[in-house]
Amino acid sequence: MTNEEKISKSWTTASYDELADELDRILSNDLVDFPYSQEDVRKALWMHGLFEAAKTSKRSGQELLAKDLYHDLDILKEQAPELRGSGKLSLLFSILTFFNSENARRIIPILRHRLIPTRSKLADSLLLLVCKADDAEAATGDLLEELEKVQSRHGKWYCNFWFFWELSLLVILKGRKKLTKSVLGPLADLWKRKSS
Amino acid sequence: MSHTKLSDREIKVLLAILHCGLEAYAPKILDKLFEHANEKLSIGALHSALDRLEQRGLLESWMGEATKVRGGKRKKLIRVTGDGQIALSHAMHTLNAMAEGVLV
Repeated sequence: MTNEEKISKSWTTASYDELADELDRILSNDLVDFPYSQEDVRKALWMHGLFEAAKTSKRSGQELLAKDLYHDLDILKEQAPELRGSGKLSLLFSILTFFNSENARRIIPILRHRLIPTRSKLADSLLLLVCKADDAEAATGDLLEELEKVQSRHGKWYCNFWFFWELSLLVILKGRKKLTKSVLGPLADLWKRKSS
Repeated sequence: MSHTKLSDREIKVLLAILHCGLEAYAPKILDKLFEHANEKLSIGALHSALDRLEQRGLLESWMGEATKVRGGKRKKLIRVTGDGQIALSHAMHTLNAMAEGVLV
């Protein structure tokens, strides 16, 4: 395994805590001439945590964004030969260099914005509460397809309103039986027990 | 047979599915309903009707392939079963028989 491979492997497997520990070790032992302030480090590690959260998310948009970020990071690593080497120290430097760069500062707000659930994810998760996975997937797809038509006809503001209205109707109608069973069922039992 | 009785909306939904041909799924059914019956249904109402018809064995459904549109979600494709066709023709026959000899 080459050094570069080792770095990329440790980059992808290192956790936030491991990196924070490594940082403590560096700062306490004064092993290297450290060019970043505590604040820079704190921000960089926080961004790294956010980044990892986005990377592990199943949303395809975020995966693509994460890939772009990693690609940028590789370029940065190539541009800074002093960062080459193996182990977590170089990894930490990579993170610091990357997340303190102007490029990352431009990307991070987009990344943070994308962590907010999308319509698709919201509809999926709500529908999964009331029906089976296949049904939820198909219903979400139908809703999104109709949403595109509504957006082209009526514009963005109306389409937002339409989406939430239709989604609530869909959840109520799909989950009618489940709600009846789980809410009215116990109430009816309670009523029967009280009356007998 | 009581289980083959269909409501007005169920008749329209079944006919819309037949109009869609081989690739019948919810948004397409909604389009056909609007095109032929000028009826606008919400997705929830349509799904509810489809679930009811499927439970009665008048429809059958299966999951289609995932495509890039619809956020990569698969379609639930629907087909009218033999029982569905019989129920529909029975309902249409009843309507036609009722209308016979009456000025409408």
